[in-house]
Amino acid sequence: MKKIEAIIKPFKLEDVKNALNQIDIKGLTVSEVRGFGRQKGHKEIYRGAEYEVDFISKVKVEIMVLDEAVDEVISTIQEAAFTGEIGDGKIFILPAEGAIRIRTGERDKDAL
Amino acid sequence: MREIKTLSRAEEVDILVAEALKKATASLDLGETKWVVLAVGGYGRQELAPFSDIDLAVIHAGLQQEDVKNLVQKLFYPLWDAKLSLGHTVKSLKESVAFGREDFHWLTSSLDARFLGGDPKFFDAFTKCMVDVAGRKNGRLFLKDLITSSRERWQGFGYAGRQREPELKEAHGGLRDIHAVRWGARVIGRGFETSVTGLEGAVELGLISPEDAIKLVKAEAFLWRLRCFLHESAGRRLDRLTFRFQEAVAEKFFPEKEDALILLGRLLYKSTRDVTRITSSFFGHAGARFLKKSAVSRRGENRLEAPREQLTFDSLLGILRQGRWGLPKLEHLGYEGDLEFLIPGWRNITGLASADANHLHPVDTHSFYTVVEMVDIAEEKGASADISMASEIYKEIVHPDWLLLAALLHDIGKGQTGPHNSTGANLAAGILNSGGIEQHAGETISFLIKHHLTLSHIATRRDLNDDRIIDGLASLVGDGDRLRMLFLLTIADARATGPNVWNTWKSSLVQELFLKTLARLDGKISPDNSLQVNFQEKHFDLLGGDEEVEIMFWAEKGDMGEIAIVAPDRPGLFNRIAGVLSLNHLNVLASKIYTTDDERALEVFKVAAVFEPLISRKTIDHIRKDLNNSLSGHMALSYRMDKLSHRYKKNSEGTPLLTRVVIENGASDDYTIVEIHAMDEIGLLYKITNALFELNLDIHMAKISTFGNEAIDVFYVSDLKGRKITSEEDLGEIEKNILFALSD
Repeated sequence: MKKIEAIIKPFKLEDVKNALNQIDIKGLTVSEVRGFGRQKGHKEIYRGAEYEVDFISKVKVEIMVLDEAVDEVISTIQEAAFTGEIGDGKIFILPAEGAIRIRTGERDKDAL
Repeated sequence: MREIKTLSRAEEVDILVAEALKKATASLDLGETKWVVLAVGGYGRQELAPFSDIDLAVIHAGLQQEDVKNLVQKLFYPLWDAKLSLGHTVKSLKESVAFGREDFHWLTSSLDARFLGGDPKFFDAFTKCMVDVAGRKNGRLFLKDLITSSRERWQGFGYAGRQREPELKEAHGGLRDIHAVRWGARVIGRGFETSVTGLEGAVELGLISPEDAIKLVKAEAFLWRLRCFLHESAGRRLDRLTFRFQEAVAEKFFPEKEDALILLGRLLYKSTRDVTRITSSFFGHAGARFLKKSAVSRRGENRLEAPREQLTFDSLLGILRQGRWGLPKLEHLGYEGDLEFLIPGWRNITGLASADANHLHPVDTHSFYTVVEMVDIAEEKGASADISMASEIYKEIVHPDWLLLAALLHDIGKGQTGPHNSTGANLAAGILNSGGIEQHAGETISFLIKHHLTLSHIATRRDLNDDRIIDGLASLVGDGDRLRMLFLLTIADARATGPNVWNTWKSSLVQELFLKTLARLDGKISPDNSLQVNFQEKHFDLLGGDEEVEIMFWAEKGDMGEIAIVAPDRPGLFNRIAGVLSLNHLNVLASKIYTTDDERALEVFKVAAVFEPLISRKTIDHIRKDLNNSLSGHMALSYRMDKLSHRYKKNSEGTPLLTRVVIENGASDDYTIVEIHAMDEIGLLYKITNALFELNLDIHMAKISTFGNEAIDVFYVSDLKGRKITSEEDLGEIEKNILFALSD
């Protein structure tokens, strides 16, 4: 089992969600996050005064998937979140120990 | 005016207590000693909501410690076993008096005490003692404590009338306020003898008007019923009318009414506002009469009762500019109906709970807070970076008052059918117009209302690196001043909504959109959008044809298509074509012009059919015929255009827009750019280009965009010798001629 974390451009969320729906991903977690990667923060200058923008607003999508689904999920996200511009984001894959559905106590595969 | 339900619950409990008491005393030999079992607090007042706590007190004098213990155990245990949520107090009379001097809560609670069992004479003695405690120094101490404790309570629980999820009991405007007035009235008015409502004394003393006393009683009955319904719906003790239960409770009040929620909101607003005002005014009057001035802050309460003048937008703006300080006055104006008088329809958003769960306040209060936030921005209150930038921007706004009015009116369309932003924009246009606000201001405010969510939507849902998005917004907004106002309205609105709506995440996105669009507008490059004409090979192929006038049509998706026309270049060609297209019911969306060395012109138009789903071959044949006739002088175009315009219904939807002409000479090296913002109508393009033609201007490029009912047309023009127009006089003539052509 893997946890996939994708940091994407906010306006791409709808596309990514729809694309994941298409491949039958049943659940995901979304959060509004801020940070920087290669697309560094920047300074906004308004009438001479500088306003530092250290962090850029992005959306983080988190999904738990079985090992065999990892490649499909990654390529789906990559395709849906792609614009070709700097700042398109990143996808991280993390090993996951397990999952439990709180209501039923089902575990791992059954809990996803 | 008591609710039947109340009595029955309190009576039920009375029976349980009486039984338990009978059993308890039967097994004890208490003799003729002095003791009494009392219902205190809400139970004392016989006000038990389905899940209210039941407060009992045992008061005694000279009873043995052991006897007290036995009585309490035998009385309370069965009641606990019956699963009553029971609060209890055991005190000697001496303790009760001493405690009453220190603990205001116990004192007020004992004032509502009701006899349940024991020695009736001792009950009278107890009551007299507690009344004496309350009446120390003619009740002045009590009044002071009452006012102080109420203020603390309001601080903690807020104003019910401002809350989207109002606290019915402890908030300002809630039930506790009414209790407080009753207590105060009874103590000051020495009204214990007439303790039926406790309000008669206050009326006699002139601290409350008889009308207000009735209002208070009515509000109490309503709030009380509401609280009972809430307990029933929630199945537990709950005194905050949370959004979750609002519908269920509204249904109980107004069964089978579709707008039950709105009706409940209105009633709730009216009641809590009545209570708030009457309580404040009671405290104000009582404080002024009985306390030294230092003990009561005189701010607010009395000043509001100054003689009223008719509210105008001028006087309203005076209050709006005060921001936070003006808030009580705004609320007062809303409550008294002055706002409804000036702003017809204000009533509809008064107390209206917004369906969006992010909202903390009902719509009217949210609108006030948006004004408050705007003034905070102006005064740079709040430490965050986006505020300091916003306040810089505020300083550049040409008409801050317009922005304040937009803030006040931005949600006026809520609670109506249709999207609230466009509905609100239309309502506001009418309101401002009849309120004597000048047309240009009214239009701008109406525009701001219509688009108060646009920035935030684009910022979170669109690619801000896509130039077309930025261009589109730039064309829509039209100038930097409007964009600045829209930006500030977006921030103030979001900040007034609730704590989680405006955060750095969203702020940095909206800011990016704002700055990019502003750069575009300041650069003043012509507006551009996806409906652009790009010259292609196929267009130029047309130049190779043999006819004097060549026409080709390419259908595109939907009812759109491209028409390319080659004709001998001559002044007035463009406006004739524009006219002919209109006559054939085609709407021009964009166009581009190319002139060849052999003095022929290629003009490409992107068009949409107005009536037909598709553009037919027949239409194209008509156009060819009309164009030939027109160019050869066989067709009175102006006459036909005028006749045509009568056939179209005037575009009456939306706000009337003021026509604006902006002439720019700096943006292009070769051409003078004439930009026209106007209400879209049939033949608009013909009228404008005809006006340009009359001044011997050559049109080299035209971009036509339509946003709702607003058309923004941009023309790159030169004189017949291909030079820019530079003289101020000529530029003035251009503007005048266009404005004249578009005036009715």
